Amino acid sequence: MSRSVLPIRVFVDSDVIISSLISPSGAAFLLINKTKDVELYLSNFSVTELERVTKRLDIKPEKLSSLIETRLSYLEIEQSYEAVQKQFADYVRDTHDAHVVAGAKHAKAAFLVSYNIRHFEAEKLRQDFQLILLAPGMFLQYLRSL
Amino acid sequence: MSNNIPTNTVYTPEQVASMLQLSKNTVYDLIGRGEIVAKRIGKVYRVPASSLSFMFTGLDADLYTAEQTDLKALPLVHKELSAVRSKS
Repeated sequence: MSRSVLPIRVFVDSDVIISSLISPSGAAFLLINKTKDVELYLSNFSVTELERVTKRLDIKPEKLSSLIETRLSYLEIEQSYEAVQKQFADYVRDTHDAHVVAGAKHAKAAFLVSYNIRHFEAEKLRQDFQLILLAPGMFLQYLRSL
Repeated sequence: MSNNIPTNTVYTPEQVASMLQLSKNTVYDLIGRGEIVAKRIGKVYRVPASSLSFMFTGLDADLYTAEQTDLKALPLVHKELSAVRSKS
């Protein structure tokens, strides 16, 4: 089967982005740096937390900013953090993860890629938003099936 | 997440055919094309479990290894991410 011409829209959770900055041989790195026809999204909320986490982990800020500029598509969620937590509470185990779902919905993503699979209500995401939740390795495996 | 690949285990092409629900000829064909990596010992083949990674883990061997690489640092990543998110 041949790959669709349209790029696949994917929202990337921050744990995947951080993992890609830590290991150049991990699945997260492969997803972000070695895939084609895949549009990877992050949000303003993602950027804020990524800047804080990279600082705590002693990852050079240039590595993050370069990645965002060259490979990731930025989208602005205009709602407040609190409003997002309230709106998407049913899709997460912890409302602090709600902004990830909001980002995926705003991006009109077909996939949400995260290493935090158990913290999301995968079936509800699929039913309500047609959003498929996968870990990076599984998403890469899916790409190979196209 | 993914299950482990059994180590120190090899299979005959007949066993692989049964496990993957393929014909024996198809398995020999896949071995001949290199899609299933096997070791020829004399006149017979043995297939290491690592060649059947997809069956055990849902991932090809290289993707399984790549994911395992990420998993090593993941507890630290999640700890820091949780700390940051809880302060948002």
